[in-house]
Amino acid sequence: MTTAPGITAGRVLAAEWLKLRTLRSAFWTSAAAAVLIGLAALLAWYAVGVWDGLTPEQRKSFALSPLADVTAWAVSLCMAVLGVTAATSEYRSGTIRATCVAVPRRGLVLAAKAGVVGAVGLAVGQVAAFGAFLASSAIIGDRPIDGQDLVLADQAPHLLATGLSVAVFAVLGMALGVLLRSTAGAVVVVVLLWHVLPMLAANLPAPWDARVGSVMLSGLADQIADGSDTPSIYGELLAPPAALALLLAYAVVPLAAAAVAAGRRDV
Amino acid sequence: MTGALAAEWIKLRSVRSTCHVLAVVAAVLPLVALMAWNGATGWDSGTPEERAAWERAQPLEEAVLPFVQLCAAVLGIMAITSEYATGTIRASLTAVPSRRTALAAKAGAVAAVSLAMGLVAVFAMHGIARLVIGGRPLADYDEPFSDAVPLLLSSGVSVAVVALVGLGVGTALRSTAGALVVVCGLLFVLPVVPAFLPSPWGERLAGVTVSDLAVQSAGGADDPLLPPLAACAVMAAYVGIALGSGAALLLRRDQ
Repeated sequence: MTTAPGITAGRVLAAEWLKLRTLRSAFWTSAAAAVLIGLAALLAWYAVGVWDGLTPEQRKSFALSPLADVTAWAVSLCMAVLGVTAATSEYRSGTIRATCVAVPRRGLVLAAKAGVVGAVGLAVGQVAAFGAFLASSAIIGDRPIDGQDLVLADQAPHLLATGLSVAVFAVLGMALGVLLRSTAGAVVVVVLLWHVLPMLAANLPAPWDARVGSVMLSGLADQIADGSDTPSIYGELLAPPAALALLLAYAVVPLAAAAVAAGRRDV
Repeated sequence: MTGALAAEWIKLRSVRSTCHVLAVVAAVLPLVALMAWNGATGWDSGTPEERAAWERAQPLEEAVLPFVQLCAAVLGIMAITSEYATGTIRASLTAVPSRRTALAAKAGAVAAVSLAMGLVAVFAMHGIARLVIGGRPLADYDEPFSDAVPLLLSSGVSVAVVALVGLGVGTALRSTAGALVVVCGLLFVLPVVPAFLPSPWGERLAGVTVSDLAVQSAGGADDPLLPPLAACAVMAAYVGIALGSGAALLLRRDQ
């Protein structure tokens, strides 16, 4: 007689990985990330075409913002939605009941889900940030376009922080999905944090625009490691360690709230 | 058609998300009052430079409009994706076998609710801000009310446009998350792209984003790409393309 296999962290992680990779939205959100990198390359290619046709005088007033940042910004919405659906798809289809029967410890399920979603978010985020950077630097080459600092060694810390913030969006989305158990509700909260609140903050008059903007999740990567000379549209009041701590808090605090909620309520 | 409209109305008002959306939009109004109060006190105690910054500030109803549009998108999307999630769509199409009629009735109900929500929200926000700010020259709130009406109307209509686009995309994709991502792309990601496009394509793309179209159709844009009527037509085209693609897929596939 063989003993029933025990519940180990490795097995729960494997189960969560199986569920995530068979989720249709995992494919679609990752595909959207790939398309966005392609779009960044297309924008760089178009800008280069325009730049080559300009006179030296016109080139002085030509600027292009870093394409890696905007790509990662759009990808972070995709990954946040991936995190949301990783949680809410279970509530929608009822799999959550089977999941909780198989692994009665809800904290363990949540930790495994966060691990898997965070790992995918981190991988896709880093690929998006470095991919868009490398694609745009390959296309732009040595053209001295204003706003483009294309030395990889200078940019690596900023790109790493940017990719990390994508992973935080993914875990945040997952935690909100568990908390709200509704795809629409969780996605709306994510969109609010990702763009609507920063946009409102940017419209506040000084000094409140920078004060509120500095604590917005989308602006933290820039404060952990600055990528360009241009001032951040969000705000730059936090020191790098404080910005990093806040970035991690955006993942950990909702996750802890989700763990408390999931531990207390019926499935 | 009347029966189908009545059915869609019952479904729309009994979907939980509709109540949530309306409650959230209503909850924004006190927030707007708070922001207006913050502006009024900031202006009163401000130095001349600070006062100048307040005068240049964006009107509150325009700053909050994207949030109302997002809520409207959820309303429109959930009107159809909730049916796919629960399976009600099968009962709906058994009761109303003409899929065109079913979608048209749904569009009618969504348009009525979202238009009312958009107009009430925008005018209420403007009114609240005007009351709190008093006669202070913040963000043009000291201008006559009649000057603000065209932009308020077109902003309110843009809320209904977003809801109908959400309904169309939701019908095409049958997925709440997918449709929300697409609409967020149109509302938030697309307006960022022109910053990366050198002229003339930057201006051309910026001119056909939903938020810009609302300003242009009110005739309030400084350097408009389109005359007001053309801007209205492009807004209608957003609805037509989204609902058209939703209808095309709805007519062709099994549920």
